[in-house]
Amino acid sequence: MASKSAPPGTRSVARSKSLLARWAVALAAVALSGTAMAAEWNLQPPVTPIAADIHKVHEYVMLLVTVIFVGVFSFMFWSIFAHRKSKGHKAAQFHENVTVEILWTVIPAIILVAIVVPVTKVVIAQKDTSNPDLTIQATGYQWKWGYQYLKGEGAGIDFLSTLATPQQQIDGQAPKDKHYLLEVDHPLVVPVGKKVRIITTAADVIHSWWVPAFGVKQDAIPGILRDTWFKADKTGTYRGQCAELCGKNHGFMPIVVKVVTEPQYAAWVANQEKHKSEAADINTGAPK
Amino acid sequence: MSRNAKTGLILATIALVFFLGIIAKFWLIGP
Amino acid sequence: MSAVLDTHGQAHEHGHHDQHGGYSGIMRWITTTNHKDIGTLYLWFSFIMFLVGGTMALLIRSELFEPGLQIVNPEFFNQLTTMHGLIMVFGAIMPAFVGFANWLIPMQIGAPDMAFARMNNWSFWILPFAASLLVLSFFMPGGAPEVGWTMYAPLTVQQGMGMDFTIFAVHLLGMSSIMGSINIITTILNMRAPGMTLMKMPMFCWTWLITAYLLVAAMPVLAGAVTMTLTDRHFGTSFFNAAGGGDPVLYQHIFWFFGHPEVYIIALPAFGVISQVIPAFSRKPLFGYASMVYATSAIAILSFIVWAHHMYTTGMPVTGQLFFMYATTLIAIPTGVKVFNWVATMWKGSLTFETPMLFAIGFLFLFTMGGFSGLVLSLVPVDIQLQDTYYVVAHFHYVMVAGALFSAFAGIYFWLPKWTGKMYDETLGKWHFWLSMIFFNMIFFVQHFLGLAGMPRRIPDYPLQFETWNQISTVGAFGFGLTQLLFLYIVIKTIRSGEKAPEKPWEGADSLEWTHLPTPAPYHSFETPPVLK
Repeated sequence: MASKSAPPGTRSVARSKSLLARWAVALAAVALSGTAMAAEWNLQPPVTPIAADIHKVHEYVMLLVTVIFVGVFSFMFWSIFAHRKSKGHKAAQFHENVTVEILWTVIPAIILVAIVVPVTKVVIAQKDTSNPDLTIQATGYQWKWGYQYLKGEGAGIDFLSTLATPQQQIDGQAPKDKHYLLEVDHPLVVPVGKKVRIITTAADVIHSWWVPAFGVKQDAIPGILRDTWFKADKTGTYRGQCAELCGKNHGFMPIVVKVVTEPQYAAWVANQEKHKSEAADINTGAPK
Repeated sequence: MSRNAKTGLILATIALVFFLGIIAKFWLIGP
Repeated sequence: MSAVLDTHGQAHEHGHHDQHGGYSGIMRWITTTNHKDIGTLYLWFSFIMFLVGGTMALLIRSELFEPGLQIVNPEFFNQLTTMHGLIMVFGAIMPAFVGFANWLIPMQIGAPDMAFARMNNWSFWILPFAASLLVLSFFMPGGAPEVGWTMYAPLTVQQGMGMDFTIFAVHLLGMSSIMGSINIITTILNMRAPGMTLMKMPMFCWTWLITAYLLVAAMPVLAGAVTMTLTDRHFGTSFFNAAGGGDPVLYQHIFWFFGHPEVYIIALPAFGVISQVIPAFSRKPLFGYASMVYATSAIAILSFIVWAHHMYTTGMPVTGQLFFMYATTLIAIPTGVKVFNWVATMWKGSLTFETPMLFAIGFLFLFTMGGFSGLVLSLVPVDIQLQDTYYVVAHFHYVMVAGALFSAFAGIYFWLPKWTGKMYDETLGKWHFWLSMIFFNMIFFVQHFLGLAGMPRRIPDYPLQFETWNQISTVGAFGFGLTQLLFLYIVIKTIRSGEKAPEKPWEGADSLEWTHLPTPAPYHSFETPPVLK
């Protein structure tokens, strides 16, 4: 479909550009309205030193990456603007430049080193589960979590933690409450400011124990024990979800952790009856 | 055997060895 | 290069079919050993699979429009996510690039056809059979598997019969890819025209040569993983069962040893297409041809030592996490070199912006964004937060849709004239591009925020704070899906009633199919090798 008068493609380009402008305005309107509606943009506010480190790493890398991206694509967009055939620009024929090629191999390598060196410290810190104040085992089941307090204050406490959101809310027959899909009958309770070691395992398939505010995610693997740790700096209730596909109700087995003051924790421990582990009854009692 | 056939046979052998090798290694020696 | 036109075998009368192997109609397509016919079959098959997988995506996104379960139940939702992934990866995007390989490699190296023309026929015809098995699994008792395209054990051991259908389909798909790769390597190594040294080959052929080696090495490993799943399911083995002395995480190691090279298997041919399109529309040679060859080779080799960056949360020792983090970040270097070389190709060129070039530029911009989100994910501490969230979903859709799919669109618009002798409608092509760009970003850019905010993958329902981005994403999905119907219309309209293409529709295109063959290319080309300078 050749244009008769204008150079090939320019008329449709011009039309496309004004159309693009109209679409951009529409899109901006949608995006801005989204902002007004309490949309989330970043990682959840950190409540542990590790989570705070993760925020810093992410911000650092995002800054670097944005600078590089804008830099490189400024060249591309300049080219699109200035090196057009329709502007009469004639093509140069160069196709190599050793200096430039060495530079853009070596400089990215240096930038990568500048990234991984500070990050290495955080990786090592995340793995250091030594000398915990409290050790709790989190066992993934289809589809709930089981918590057993193994060592430290509260050892012997043992219970299941199941989604508490009523089915009517999921089916749309009742209005959804604020913590829809993020509430359980028996949350994990831990004291503030103490190093808590979480040992993960599973009874059936692979699950994953994840609390974004803590910066902690650890796969729970049947027949194997893994571990991770956190030290919460602030009291409060923190919520996460299972992070490994584990069957039909993978989306319906959240993790809720209540971080309380030490006196509150002692009182909670004292109130727990050391009841028999529900895990023994799991096969008969588990919802199908 | 043509040159093409020789090349093809070598490549097919690589594929077969990888396939049988992975299974054999974990079957005989474990994870 | 002297432009000696090869008119052997060209139909002088429209509709003369006695050159098509003697058959006409359906039998022609079933029995063809012609690389052009087989390329066409792969491309149409891949487009059909793209629509099937896309429909599943629309069902997924419909359910995710609002919190709550409105349309499907959780089991079916996970059947959809699983099959969407398997169909798009193995049924759509990989066969599309094999279609390009079949059409272009013989023409670009001056060969009459592929090395194993009859095996080529089988490589294709296995695919509809395998795809049917995948789709059929939905109708088995228990439905399709609900395990994600990654099919982790031991979840796979719990699945019904649909899992076995899928395993069989994966075996067939793998065999098709391996046979295709053997064909491609043998053709490129042994059948180049005299004077076409490896370092004079079009970049598209180089990327396919390297990709084919990746396939030969990686596909059998996937076959091993799913076979071991099959025997754990039915023959009493315990490869992935801790109680029997095995290890569930072993499956992940084996799968991702395939899985990481797999993403480069998808990306490298896409890079190859871009390396043909950008120089053509810049009227300038590809910048740094040798570096591109070395960078592509480096990416391919590195792709074998990074697999466990998909497994940072499985509990590997810290030294393992560090090794895989360092190795993964290394891949950014050769990938960056390629991006810089493409931009340098455009720099001081004489640019025009027909549809292939628009898609190539869109690729460059958006694939690089996907690469950067990959860099973010490669860092262990951040990955701990983002693993199994929508951030990962955003990342791989940027590189595979805005990357590989846009590159495929660029290639189709670029080569349609050579294949059909007709020009596509440039205005409609531009509409396809801009609508795809806008809707693609609407779907997936906001998913980065969902992942950061804490939304896991593979869930049919979600907490309330994720609603806004999910709604925007779903609206984008419907827009994107409808736009691809426009593409179908454009292609069909071109074939049926497109304007006749000139002999050289693209001024700056300089590979053999453009310089030494008429437009459209004859059914048999280069039955005698071209004379090259």
